[in-house]
Amino acid sequence: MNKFISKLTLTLLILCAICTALVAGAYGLTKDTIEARAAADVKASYKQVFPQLGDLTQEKAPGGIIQDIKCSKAGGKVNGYIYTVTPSGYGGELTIMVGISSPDVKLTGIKVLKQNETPGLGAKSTEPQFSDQFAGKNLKSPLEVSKQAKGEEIQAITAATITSRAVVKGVNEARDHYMKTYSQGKG
Amino acid sequence: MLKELTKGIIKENPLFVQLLGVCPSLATTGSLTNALGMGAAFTMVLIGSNLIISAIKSFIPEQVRIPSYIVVIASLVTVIEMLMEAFVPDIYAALGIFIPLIVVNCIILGRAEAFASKHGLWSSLQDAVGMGIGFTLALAIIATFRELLGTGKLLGIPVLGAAYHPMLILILPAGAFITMGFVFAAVNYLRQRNEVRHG
Repeated sequence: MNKFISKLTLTLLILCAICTALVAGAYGLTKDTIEARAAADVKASYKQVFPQLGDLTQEKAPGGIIQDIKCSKAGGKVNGYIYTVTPSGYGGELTIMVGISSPDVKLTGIKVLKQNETPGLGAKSTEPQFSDQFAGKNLKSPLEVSKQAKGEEIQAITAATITSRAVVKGVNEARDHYMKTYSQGKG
Repeated sequence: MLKELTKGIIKENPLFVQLLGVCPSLATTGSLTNALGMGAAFTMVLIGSNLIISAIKSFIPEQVRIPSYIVVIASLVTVIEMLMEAFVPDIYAALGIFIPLIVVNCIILGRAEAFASKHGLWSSLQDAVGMGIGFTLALAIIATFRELLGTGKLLGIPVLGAAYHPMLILILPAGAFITMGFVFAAVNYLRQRNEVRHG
């Protein structure tokens, strides 16, 4: 009986040891490649919301809706900021990256990184048809959302007003913070 | 020669006939692209796990076979996920989210227990490919109905025109149950009619 139990235990022990070794080996083999790729992906996202991307430095984020702020410097001069904001939508928080150029206060682009909105309605916030209209908007005054957008307004997604407003709120939070913190007394 | 391969496609279809893997099927049939992605990732893992289990079956005492299979399958899935993420990032971007779901897919364990642990490598490979095709086909059928009627699109391309008003509920979780119920009913009807005719 004892021999039998040791045999079972030993089999499981050896099997687990082999499997752990294989997983550890694969991890060691792929770790650097995966990390480099993840860093490149983040860089690509930054580039998408802020095409004039220079060297990035970390700024202090106030927390709450504004989760992260990166400052971009090109040739030693600040040319913009990239905000990561998390306003509340219809199905929980949305995570949105917002690029603001400095000092001309223009929205350079947004990208919805994470969302849990209704498929077919609010989930359209990730589609270019909605998100592309943000690029180039003037942020000297807060952004407005409208069902029939004109001028600097943002066209809301049909039947997903809450999501559209949430995205715009995220952008405006970033704008307000920028005006208060980085704009040279003209806010 | 290839009978182990063909049985999984219709006669012993893992989803329609064995009713295994219902949970990931509900989650990934919202669009045809997702269904095909899940099917492909699933088939890959099943081929790997069937081959390994078949190869080591004589070393595993019967009393500890289930924990052994689980360790093998979980390790295999983890290794495949890491290798894919590092070396085929494009495929990983498309299939990556489904891979953790495969660990909990009971078809993999089911095939290990019911087939690979009792058969040789060649039969187990056929079994895995057949079951993989069968599962992918089943997912694709459900996803086609859900995407087409729920969004008016197929593979993300609009096909039903602007006049069609999409039944949004079909791509929501409740729609997965509704569609699956109708598809299962249709499959059962066809199978029973077939049995009456040939039985």
